[in-house]
Amino acid sequence: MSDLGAMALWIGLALSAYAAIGSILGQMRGVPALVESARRSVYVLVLAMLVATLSLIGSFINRDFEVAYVAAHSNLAMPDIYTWVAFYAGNEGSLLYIAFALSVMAAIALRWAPASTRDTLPYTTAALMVIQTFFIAVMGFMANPFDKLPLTPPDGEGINPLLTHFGMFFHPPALMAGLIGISLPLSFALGALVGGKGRDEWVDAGRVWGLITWVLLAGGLLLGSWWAYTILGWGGFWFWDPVENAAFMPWLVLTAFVHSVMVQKRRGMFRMWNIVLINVAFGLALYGMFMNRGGPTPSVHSFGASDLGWVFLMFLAVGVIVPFGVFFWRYGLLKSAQNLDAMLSREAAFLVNNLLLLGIAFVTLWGTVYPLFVKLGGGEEITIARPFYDQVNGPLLLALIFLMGVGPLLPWRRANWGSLRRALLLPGSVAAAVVVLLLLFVTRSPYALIGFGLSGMVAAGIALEWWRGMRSRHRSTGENYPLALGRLIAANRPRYGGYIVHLAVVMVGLGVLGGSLFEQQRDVVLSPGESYEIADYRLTYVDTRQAVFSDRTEYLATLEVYRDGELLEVMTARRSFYPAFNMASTLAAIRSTPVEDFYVVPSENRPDGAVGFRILVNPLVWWMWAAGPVLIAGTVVSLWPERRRERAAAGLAVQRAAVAAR
Amino acid sequence: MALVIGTVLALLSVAVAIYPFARRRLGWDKGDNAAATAAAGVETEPGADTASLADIYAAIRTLQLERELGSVPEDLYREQLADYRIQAALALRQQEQAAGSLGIEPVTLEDAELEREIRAARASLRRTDSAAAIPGERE
Repeated sequence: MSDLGAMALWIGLALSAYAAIGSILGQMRGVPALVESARRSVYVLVLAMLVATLSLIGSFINRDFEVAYVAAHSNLAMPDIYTWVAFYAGNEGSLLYIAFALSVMAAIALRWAPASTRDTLPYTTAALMVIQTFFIAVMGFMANPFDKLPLTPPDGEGINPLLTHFGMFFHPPALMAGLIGISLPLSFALGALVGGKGRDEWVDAGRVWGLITWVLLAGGLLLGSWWAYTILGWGGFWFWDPVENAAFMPWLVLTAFVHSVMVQKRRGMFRMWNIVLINVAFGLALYGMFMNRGGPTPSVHSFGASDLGWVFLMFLAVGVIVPFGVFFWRYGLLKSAQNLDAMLSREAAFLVNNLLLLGIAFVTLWGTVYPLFVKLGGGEEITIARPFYDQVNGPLLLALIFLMGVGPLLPWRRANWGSLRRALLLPGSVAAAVVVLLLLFVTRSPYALIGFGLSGMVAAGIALEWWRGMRSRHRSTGENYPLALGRLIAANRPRYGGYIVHLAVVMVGLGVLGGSLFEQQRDVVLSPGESYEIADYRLTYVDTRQAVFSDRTEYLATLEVYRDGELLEVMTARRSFYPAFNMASTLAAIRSTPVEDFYVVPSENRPDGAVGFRILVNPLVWWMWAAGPVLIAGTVVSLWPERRRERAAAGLAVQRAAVAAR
Repeated sequence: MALVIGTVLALLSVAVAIYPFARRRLGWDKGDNAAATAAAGVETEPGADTASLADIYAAIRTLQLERELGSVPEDLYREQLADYRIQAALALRQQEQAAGSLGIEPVTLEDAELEREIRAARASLRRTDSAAAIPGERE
């Protein structure tokens, strides 16, 4: 299997290099056959990468420990279900996954590229394949997943225990696909610019792939938070770890991009800005990959010691210099069709939203790289931790939520204070009601009051927009309200899909606010039969069972949770020790409800039978995880293509609208 | 076994890369409409242009909704509608030209009534266009 994988890898390298060179040469010298040949090579590249991927997975399934990568990331005791996780558990496999994901996305993007990009598609192909060639070449020459050991060991080292979690089936693949997926909008933009098309030709493709990449990163980040929450044993979901930040920053910039590209699509504005945003997002994605692979900061997320760091650093430099070089070269083509008419307008709200998102991204970048600068300057080792981010990013995030509530209520081009006041009357009233209720019954914390108040305002604003749209459709068509709502969404998918995503963001905000501001935490040691009370709960530790496996010993603590004397649930919290790794991993017992999570994780098992527990009551965290499916649903609605019948009806609608305007 | 599959993969890769050249050299693409368009480096599907019409349609629906909800002032509504109309006329023309050059029928509808209405709409647009030349793009 591994020999086939290695062959497929080299074939893939030849195909991607050929596609990159052939596209450029064919386009520049006017040889359509060469352009077509290069494009078709991209399709075969998918097959080559699939063969390589299946070969590595097959080697894992066969526990072929002759392959160094398989020996390093699996053993005989590893359940087969973790084969997929082991596949990308190390540098080499993750590079193969990235190359495979990029090949699939590139082939789909090129095959179904919008008509407006066809003139410049060869340049887009070349950009994508240069990136692809880099990844395959790094694998081929420096980190080959099919390299063999001189002697085959009887057993492998095993999979990292922290990866044996359900979230790991999706979190790393989603993040890696999201990070490399930024190549697609970037390549469409680069292709358009190199081909001399500096207007809006690339915008549809850029928007679609920007959204796909955005949701992959968002889903990956949420799943990563859930993984951290359930397995790392400290009860939180975000640590501002440098590698966590490395995925968060490009997501922030992509969020800015998917908003501002709508302004370009709609009004022909922000042309330069959008190119800058996608270039920055790509640069940050490469920075994330550098941090993950031999970067200077150790992290629970990184692949440990690696000599690939300098290669990725160089690629990061090229990945920043070349796109910005093209941007400055084609600067003259990027003049906007319209100017900003007023600062009180939806366009201006988008711009401020972008600046806030970039501000948060650069604060995060500064917090990530500042310790490195200090260290390089000979200073002592420092860590930038959560208080810094809370203090600086907290107000920026609140301002962003405020804009999320106000922006959609502002009209395009210009608004006046009177119309804004009217539009904000109901959402503002809801916000005020939330604040008053919180003040009366819950808290006086300013952060909580502002955060929950703004969340209420956004939710009310969205509800109002839905209601007004539904009512308008009901009045004009006579449809009943549910039907009017369904058809309203179907007829305006990007807009209403966006509102669904905004609702998901509000849900995440609720979880973050509740979990950060109202968390109660206790560290206790309990002997069997002992109880501890926290908030309204009483926790009784019953006993611990021990289960011995070939690679680990599991300690399963049985716990009873009571409220008001009534047994709510019998829970099991797990702590496993892996002798080969000299590492313990935990799996928290969580009773999760929309109101609050009751969270227990064992921290140590004492010889006398007592167990150390961390107990937390985390309000509203449930909403964070519930936001994931809502977020994906909203993005799918936004991206859902028009049906054929609707496509054909386009001409009619255009004509009717034109007649109506006369 | 690995060697056999690897060799097949390599041969397939070479064959796919060579195919566009061989097709031209051997004249396999004569009379092949799809191949003819591919020869120009463009892969055009019948109905591909109606996809851009769909975008315009969606944009108009959003515009109309936003006007009804007060999110678009009247002057901007008229400007944008006129703009979409120009884009639609261009897209319709492209669709007809592409269908003509490929020797295929333009995309037809399942709904005969809708089809008649669209034909009328296209005819009307052609009359309008012949009366007043379509101006260039926004810039």
